Amino acid sequence: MREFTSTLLISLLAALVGFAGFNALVDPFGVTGAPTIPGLTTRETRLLEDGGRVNVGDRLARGGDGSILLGSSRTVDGFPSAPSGWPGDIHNAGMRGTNMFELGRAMALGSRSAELRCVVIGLDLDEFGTHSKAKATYWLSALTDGNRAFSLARVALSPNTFAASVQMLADNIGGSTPRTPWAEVYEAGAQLARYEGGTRGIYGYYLGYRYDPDRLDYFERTLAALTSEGVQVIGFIHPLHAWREEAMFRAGRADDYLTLRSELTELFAQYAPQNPIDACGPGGGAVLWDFSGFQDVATTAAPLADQTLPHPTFYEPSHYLPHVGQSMLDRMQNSDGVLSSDTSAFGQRITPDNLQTSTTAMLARRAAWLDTDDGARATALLDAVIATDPDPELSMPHYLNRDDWRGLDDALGEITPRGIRGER
Amino acid sequence: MIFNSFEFLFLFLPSVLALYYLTRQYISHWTALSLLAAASFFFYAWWDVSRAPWYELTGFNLDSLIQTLWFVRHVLLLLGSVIINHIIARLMRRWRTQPLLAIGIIFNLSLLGFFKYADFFAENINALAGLDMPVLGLGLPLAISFFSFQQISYLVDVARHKTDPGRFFAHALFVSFFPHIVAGPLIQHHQIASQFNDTTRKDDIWDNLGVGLSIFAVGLAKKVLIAESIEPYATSLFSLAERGDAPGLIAAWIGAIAYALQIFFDFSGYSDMALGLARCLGFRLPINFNGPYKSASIVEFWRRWHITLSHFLRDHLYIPLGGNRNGEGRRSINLMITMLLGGLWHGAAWTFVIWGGLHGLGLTVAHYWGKWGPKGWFDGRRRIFAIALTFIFTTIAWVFFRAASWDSALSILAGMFGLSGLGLAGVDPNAILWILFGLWIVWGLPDTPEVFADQLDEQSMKDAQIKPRPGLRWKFSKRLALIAAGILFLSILNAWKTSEFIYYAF
Repeated sequence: MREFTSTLLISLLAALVGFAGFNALVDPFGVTGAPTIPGLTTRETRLLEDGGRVNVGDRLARGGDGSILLGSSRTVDGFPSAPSGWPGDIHNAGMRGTNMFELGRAMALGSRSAELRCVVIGLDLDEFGTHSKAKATYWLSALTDGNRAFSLARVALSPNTFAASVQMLADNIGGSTPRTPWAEVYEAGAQLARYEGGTRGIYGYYLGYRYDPDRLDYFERTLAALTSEGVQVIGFIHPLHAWREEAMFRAGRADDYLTLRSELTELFAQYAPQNPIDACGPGGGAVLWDFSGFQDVATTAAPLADQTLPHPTFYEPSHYLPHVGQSMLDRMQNSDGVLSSDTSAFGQRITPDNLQTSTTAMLARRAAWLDTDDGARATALLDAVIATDPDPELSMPHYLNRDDWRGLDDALGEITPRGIRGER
Repeated sequence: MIFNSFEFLFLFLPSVLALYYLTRQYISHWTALSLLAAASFFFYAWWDVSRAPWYELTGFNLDSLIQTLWFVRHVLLLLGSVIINHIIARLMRRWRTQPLLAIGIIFNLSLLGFFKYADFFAENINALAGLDMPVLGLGLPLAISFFSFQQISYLVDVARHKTDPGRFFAHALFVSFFPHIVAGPLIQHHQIASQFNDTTRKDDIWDNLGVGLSIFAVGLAKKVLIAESIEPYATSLFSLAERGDAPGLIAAWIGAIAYALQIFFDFSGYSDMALGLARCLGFRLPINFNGPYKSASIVEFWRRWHITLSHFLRDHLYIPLGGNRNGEGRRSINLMITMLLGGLWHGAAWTFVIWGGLHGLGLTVAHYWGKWGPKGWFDGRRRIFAIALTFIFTTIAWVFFRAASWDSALSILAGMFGLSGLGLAGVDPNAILWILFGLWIVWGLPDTPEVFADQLDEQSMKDAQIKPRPGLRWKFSKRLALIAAGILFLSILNAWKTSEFIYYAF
């Protein structure tokens, strides 16, 4: 029996130590502080992939940022990694493929830091759908429990880290990179193909889309906790290219979109009266901006068949370019958009008072765009797609369970109280 | 702290094992036991301690002291329960037993009733009588259902002179022993008291760790690798129904079977881990599961599923009610009462009562069938039909157990009986693969007690009425040591994305 037990313990220990050591040394998510190995780990090619949430969780758990910018890949790619001009600086903590479950936990974790003044968060229908609650690497990150030490242990002992480590080594040795969001020059036709392919795919996605009201409740609970403890929450609805927005309308999801827009407006208005300790922009404790809905940036015509220069605002219908994101930050920080009667300006702060006006203006913009050549191209494309009667993109719905709610309550319970935040 | 958490696997467990064995070796048996009791209270307190808003404390003053006591109120409740029950047990030994036993049982049931059922009854009375009784919303102290029953078992064993009250910390350890406090197995005091009192027992650490870690590995794999993988398919169905959707035939059966498998791998995995952990420390806990989905009747199912609860209900409820001593009719009533209360023990909701009632009905029908039904229908190869029927029945009953409301349960049942169409849309092929894999394990492989039949003690096997058939057995070879290490390694790597055990909610 002694031989059995010692074999078991020694082999288990050796496997754990070897595995963890390899992952910690390669450190694909940039959290262990391991030294760079020239030629092997110089380029951190996996930092902005799915595993990026590990890095985000680690940074939020360490605290110290005055403002954080949260959201999905639209935030990762649509804003500079270090946006400028924001009071006290802002950290781009976007996470690819995220949704409200992860975002709520990120908001709570970030607010544990007494230095945090503002959370800027990008929202759209995707964040409130029934698709998977979290990427596999979320469960490794400090987003789950706020504990950096435990997170490091989980990261070291994870097959996901191992896979990313191997990929990162291969990238460094082979010179490849995981994905280039956009290029300076494209081959003729390549950009258009990207737009058309993206629009076709997103039509099927919207056909199968299911809205989950629980995720809005989840967000509300988080919003209530943050604003009551003096953190200003600035939400914004992402701009999407008109081709994607039209695919949403044609797939019958406009009602979901307008309902979500309306519910978010009510929600933000409810918490706006909470006084932020140190606001980053005008509008009170909770502010909602809308950059969606066929605005000028989004209705810039899609690439032509022979176009080689990049599209000026979107690299494909779902993702805008960083200068667009920077201009959004500038607008949210400097303008009291709600007072503007100019509904053609990029981005408007929406409140229950101007919701109807802005919705009417948005529908008018859509009608005007449909009359343009670009609108006609999108319509022809979608007509052709619809004629094939494509199947909706259905996936098993994921819902929040008891542990998810309890985990959120625990995380919200650890937010630094208003009194302490005010002392900093 | 859950068994598959980092803090338990890498901090708590190694520390407790090392301290226990060193203390027992170099100081004394009783010191080691008291240390184990303290560690178990710490394990229980961790839920509160790790979540308490400690930053609210304002220094060393009375307010902070009161706040601290509030933060750890559940462990204080547990401690209070141990103290009061121990005093009652001591008094029972000195004076007449029956009135004190009744007081003790009433105390424990009152504690359970207050925290678990007060709101349930208030809400129902308010609904029925149009009253406005206050709903307290106290929150359920972790494991109160289990430790209340443990205390009753302790008092009954002392009253029946099966055991002495024992030392205070041995009693505290009996109730709080970390491998079983949260979700069982339910231990009768006499089953463990003799092990606690055995001061001369020689520890074979290699044997204890070898057997214990092997059983623990199997349990951890059941939970982490299987139950957690199946859970989303079950959750998806029940959540859809809660939102008013009507799942079709295929989707409803896939979701319901997924839950039947999830709860088995989750709960039996926990029980295996409890057995393994106790064995690592040299203690033997009773067996709780023995391949329940291989049962050919509901009677057999309850001999294989949550065996220690079945025994508790039999010994402390069914038999005192009269059992089968007063004819078939009375037996049926006693069975129904026992199962209805057994259902209610799981949770304060009518869906649990219905689940218990269905099983009561199933047990009654099985008894009548056994007595007056045709003989030999399900013998030989036809036993497979009885197993299938029993599985279908238990799966249907699980719908009430899992559903959050009566409406969602009925919606799923309507789907399972084909009243909502075929329901193929959105069915994930992976769900079917996982279900087939899970069914292969439950029907194609022996359950843990049979695999470890050579290592588990005879009394435990006898108590659980297990007569192991020839088949797969765990051998302590180098090859199996590597396999056990491999299972543990894989389970640990996949342990990070896990929910709490289902029975933690009870």
